Amino acid sequence: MSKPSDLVQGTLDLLILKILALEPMHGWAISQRLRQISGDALQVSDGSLYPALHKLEQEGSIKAQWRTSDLGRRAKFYELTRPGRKQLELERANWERLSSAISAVVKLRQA
Amino acid sequence: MNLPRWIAALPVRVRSIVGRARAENDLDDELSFHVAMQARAAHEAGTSEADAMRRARLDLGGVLQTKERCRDTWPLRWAEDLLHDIRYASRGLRRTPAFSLIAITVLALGIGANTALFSVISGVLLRPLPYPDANRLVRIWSAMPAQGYPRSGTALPDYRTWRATNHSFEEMGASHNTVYNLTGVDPPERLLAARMTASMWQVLRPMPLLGTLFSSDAEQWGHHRVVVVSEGLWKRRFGADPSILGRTVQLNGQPFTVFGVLPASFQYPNAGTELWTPESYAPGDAMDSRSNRFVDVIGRLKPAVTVPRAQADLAVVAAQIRQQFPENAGVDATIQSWREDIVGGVRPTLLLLWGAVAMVLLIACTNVANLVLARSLARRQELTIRVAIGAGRGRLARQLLTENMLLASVGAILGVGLAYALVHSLPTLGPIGMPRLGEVRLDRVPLAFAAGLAVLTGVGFGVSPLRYLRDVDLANDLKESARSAAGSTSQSGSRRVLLIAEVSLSLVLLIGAGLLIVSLMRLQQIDPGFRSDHVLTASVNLAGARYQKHEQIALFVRELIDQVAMLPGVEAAAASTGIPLGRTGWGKFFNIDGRPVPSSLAQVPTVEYRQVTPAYFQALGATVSRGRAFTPDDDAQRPRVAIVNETLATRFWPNEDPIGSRVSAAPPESLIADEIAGAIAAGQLPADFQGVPRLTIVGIVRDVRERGLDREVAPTLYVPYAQAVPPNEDPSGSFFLVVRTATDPVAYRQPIEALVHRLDPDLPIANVQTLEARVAESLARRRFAMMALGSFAGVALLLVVAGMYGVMSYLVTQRRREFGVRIALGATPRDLLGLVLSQGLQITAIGIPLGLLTAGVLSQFAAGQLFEVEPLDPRIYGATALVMAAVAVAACALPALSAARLDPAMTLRQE
Repeated sequence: MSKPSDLVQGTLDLLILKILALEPMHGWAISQRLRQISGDALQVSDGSLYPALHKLEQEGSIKAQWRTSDLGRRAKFYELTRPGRKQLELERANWERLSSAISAVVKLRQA
Repeated sequence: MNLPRWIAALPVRVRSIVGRARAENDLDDELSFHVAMQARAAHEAGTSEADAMRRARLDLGGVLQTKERCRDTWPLRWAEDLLHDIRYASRGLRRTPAFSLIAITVLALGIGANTALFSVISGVLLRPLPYPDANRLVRIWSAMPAQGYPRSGTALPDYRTWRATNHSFEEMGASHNTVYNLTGVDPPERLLAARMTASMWQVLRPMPLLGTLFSSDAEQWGHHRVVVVSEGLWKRRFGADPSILGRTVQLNGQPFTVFGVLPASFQYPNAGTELWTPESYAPGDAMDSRSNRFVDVIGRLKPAVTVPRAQADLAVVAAQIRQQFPENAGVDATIQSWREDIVGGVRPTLLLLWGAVAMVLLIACTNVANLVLARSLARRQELTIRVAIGAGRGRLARQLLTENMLLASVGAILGVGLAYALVHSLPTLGPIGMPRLGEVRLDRVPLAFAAGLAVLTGVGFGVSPLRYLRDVDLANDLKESARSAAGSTSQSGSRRVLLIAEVSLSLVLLIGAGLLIVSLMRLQQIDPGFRSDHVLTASVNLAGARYQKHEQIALFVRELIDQVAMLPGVEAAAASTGIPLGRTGWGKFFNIDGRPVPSSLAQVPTVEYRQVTPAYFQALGATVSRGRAFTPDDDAQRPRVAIVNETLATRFWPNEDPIGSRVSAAPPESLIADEIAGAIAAGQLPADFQGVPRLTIVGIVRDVRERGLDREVAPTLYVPYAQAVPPNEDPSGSFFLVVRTATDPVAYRQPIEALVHRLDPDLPIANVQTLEARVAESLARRRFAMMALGSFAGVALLLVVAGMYGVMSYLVTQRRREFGVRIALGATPRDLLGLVLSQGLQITAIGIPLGLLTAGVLSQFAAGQLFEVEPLDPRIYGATALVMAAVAVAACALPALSAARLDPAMTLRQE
């Protein structure tokens, strides 16, 4: 069985929320976008993406709608909810605090 | 999670619970869309179509597994899983009905018996007595250890001093049992009653159903004719008429005013008590003196006062009384928790049975564990396949556990039903010698106990197969056939251990049952000193205006006995103040002329004292071993005579012949000179009183075991009823009728009752019972314990047979191929028979010594339940071990025979 994402806990959630903040998307599109923006730096397996989406949906941060995709097939489109948007701000602030703290420490070592 | 998000999530949560099928569909669509998109992208990039599809699936980390992880995020997943597991488990159990039926039945038996017995333990031993703050109630006795009475009734004046001067009790009350003849209504009825101090109401705190309870004013002589009646009597005799309050009823021919009605739940001092009247005596009444010790005292401790502290406090009070009153020389006070006093005697029996029934459950569990083990082996392939297609091992473990819990739960539910039936059949078992049985209920506590048992047993027998899950080896197990995988050594090893446990546990039970059975047999074989067959007994209580004078009592006794004796078929009729198992006692001082006078009253011995009519020993079937029995000639005009029992004779005349000795049923006059002078002054003794009349011993009677077959015989002095006359003796108005008959004694009940009615229409006759019934009742608790333990042992033996047979046949089936090969290589059927039998014998050879050892240790705790049997009696141990071995071999015989009859060609071809 596949191991859970190697990403820092909650980072995948932040990325998903950020991507969905721009426009509603279906799962495959999200996975493409993830690959596109992070390149090989972030290894997000598709196997981790869907459980994360379902978790966010169950938490009320995102909601889903079935629409016909550009290929004419029915697809599940996710979009941010209003509380989800707040959640994104919160997570982003947390992330920035955390990453600046980490980079400060890392720089300290180099000096 | 914050509130807005929770609200936003609500629709999807509800959808995933309610629209479960759609949610599943959607999940399917979503992932297959992803795979399709991914594959198309890869194909467009140049990969072959099939390859692209495969890659897309792999990237998803396995479609099934990813689906499973998505579902894990859905709400109520556990409940969903549980339902699913239960559904799956019940399907599985239905598929193997024989297995399920046996397992459930075995568990239901085990859990049912345990729950029923625990209901009894809970109701009898654990539940507080049915009074408010009952843990503060204690029983208080007078104690005269030097005279051989560590506990005795209390004198009213002593009780009053205790009550007035102690520092430990909130309140104390005194009472004694009595009987009243309810007259003035038809038919008259003899009613159990209690006379008690008003303070007892504050000790026990009952709430009257109607009216009030009497106050201490009613204890004053002259104001004492008030009565509180029981709900039962009120309904039975007074039509539940509320206007009964203030009315008078005739008790012993005297008018008593009804003050109140007590609910049926109030059962002090006995379950059958129906009247309560004040403890009140005329001034100067000898009953109300320090030398008449007959009341029972109950105390309510102040909060936070312990029993030892109250004991020390009362010891000081008792010492003060001793200093002040010489007649109290050697009299102390002793207390015990009341509940302990009531149930302490049955605790060992109940704990013994509890231990036994717990062993039955253990055996049942081991049996089911064996079945489950065998079944899990048969399912090895199924489990392996399920692991292969994505089931988590934890999830599978949960599934297996669910199956076991389902078995245990169904077993427990049926078991509770069984326990319910058992508890409700308790009253129909007849006397079983337990107090508080009326309080036994299958309520919350036993139900919780049953639920606990279900969980324990479910986990208990379900854990061993789980070990196997740990070792599932996908690649190998899938290749191997289920059959060859089944014989793994660790599995058959643990089955063998389980069987050994079963054999030794049931041997322990067999030995326990054997010890109890032999005890009861010994008890029934001992010579009770009387013949219980063909004897009818009844109690009569002469009270009221017609029997004020001793001549009236003597006359009535004589007439009654003469007329009963003349009934056709009556061989002997007698009256006596005490009969075997009549649960009455009457002690008197005993003094032998010509022996040194003791220094104080406390040193004067006491003996049991009985007034009997001439035919008493004949009616009872007791043997006069020396001298003569009483005759009708031993009347008030003749010299006074007495008969003693052998215990009394050997205690006081160890090396001499007591016949002809002169004794008195009173202390030496010199020790009671003051009392005699006082009695003469009060006119109770004639002015020319020359001393207590002397009795000449004319006979010795073989010991009659009056208190019970297993109880020691007290030194007993018998005097003729007709010679019990004043000044210092009175014929007792309360006596037993003992009638020996030629045919069934029960048939004489009607004629005797008619006869009594003819003599005195107002006189009820009570406790009509054969002597055999009294004896049976006295053995009831032992018999109950023996039957219970015996049936537990029987069930255990059955379970062992089933377990042994099951495992052995299973082993034979598993090793058919091997056996076939052996036969092909030249083994004879005999060899195979021996091979299988030796397997069974190995188990027995370890199990039996283990059982003997365990029984040897455990039986020490049961020593108090035994009668003239050593807890380590080698014959019982040997015999039961033989039975066990024989049963074990017999259980192996069938599978062994089937092994011997194997056709090698058939078995080998089947593989």
